[in-house]
Amino acid sequence: MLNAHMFRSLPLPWVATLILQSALAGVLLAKRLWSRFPLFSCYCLLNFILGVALFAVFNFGLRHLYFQAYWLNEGLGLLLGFAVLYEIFRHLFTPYPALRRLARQIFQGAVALLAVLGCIVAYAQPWGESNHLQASFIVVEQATRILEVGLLLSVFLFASAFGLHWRQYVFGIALGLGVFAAVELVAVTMRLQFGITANPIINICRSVSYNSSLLIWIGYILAPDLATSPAEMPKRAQLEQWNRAVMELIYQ
Amino acid sequence: MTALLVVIALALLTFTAFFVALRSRRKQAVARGEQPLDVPAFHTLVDRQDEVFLRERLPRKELYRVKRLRISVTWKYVSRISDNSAVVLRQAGMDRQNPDVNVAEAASQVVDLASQVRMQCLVAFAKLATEFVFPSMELTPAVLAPKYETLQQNVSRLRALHPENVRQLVSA
Repeated sequence: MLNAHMFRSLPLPWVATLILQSALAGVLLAKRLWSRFPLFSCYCLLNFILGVALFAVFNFGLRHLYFQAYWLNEGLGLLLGFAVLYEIFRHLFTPYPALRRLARQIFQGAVALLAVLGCIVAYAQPWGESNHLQASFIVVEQATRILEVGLLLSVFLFASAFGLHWRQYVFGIALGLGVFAAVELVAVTMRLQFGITANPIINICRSVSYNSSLLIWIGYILAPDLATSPAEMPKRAQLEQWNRAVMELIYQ
Repeated sequence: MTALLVVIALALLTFTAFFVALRSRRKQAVARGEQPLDVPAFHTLVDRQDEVFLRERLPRKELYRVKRLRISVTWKYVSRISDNSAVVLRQAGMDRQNPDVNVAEAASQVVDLASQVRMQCLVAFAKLATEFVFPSMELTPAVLAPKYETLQQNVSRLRALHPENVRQLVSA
């Protein structure tokens, strides 16, 4: 999400973001994706509405209201980001009930670990930011982003360990969210580290990453699915033979 | 500065995971399905009696070299089993949404078994990696069994949630 400093230095990316957000909203509505991905649709539409509202508030020169609206926008964005993560998890594991419970246990552990890591990083963080209220908001955002990025990383690692198949839309949503959240995490950390002086570079990175995520989402929704080659399914006896072979290796 | 380094490391790791996932998605799209596997050859390869025989006859340095060689070949076999079970997992995962109840039920059972094989492969990889680094070690069930049993218990608990899995699988 974008702020006033970015608009001052880079009006074009903010406008580009609004155009891309409206395009994404249009694509979501045209493809009727709200029924399959209600949380993601809600996340995108709310971001778009709040983006337009922020743009209007900033242009009317209501600075005090802008600060409140900006942090409300960030807070809602973070919460809905977690909701989207849950939706990714649900879609990825629906075809694999045998793995769902194991995955849930692993992610519960990951949440606990990441929460601790977030707190440690937030505690160890030097504050280059002079405005303490703003710094507090940024520290909370940093800890939350650590949790978000870490959970996305866990989803990708788990899927990769079990060779799970990512469907087109789910993969696109996860990739777009991951790119944006990872760059946001580095950006808020740099902001805390170097203060307002680092803002011009940080804003360019945030703008590029958010616009890239919007392009990824639009691209993956519009592109045809990568069809997997049809292959003959092995019989149960063959699976059991592999099972015995590996068990022998483990138990010998 | 430590916080910044931790965050950058996490971000880099995340981008690496994205790249790996992108690559594996493309590979899955062109994959030809399951690859053949010579199971009797695999059994011969993992036979501990052979290792005992070699241990008695070879000097330690040579024994470790041969053992590492065997482990690399075994690794390839386990990789193939792991890849094959992933192929099965993907295909059966898609078939679970089949409108034909019998196919969906059979696919559900295959998904269950393939997940089990894939989990065992992860344990096997851990065992092989440890023995490759420390060839003097012979990881016995006493070391690995508790972990493996926990995995099995997880699978059993999950199975209990799906009573239809007890029924015999109809050939897909």
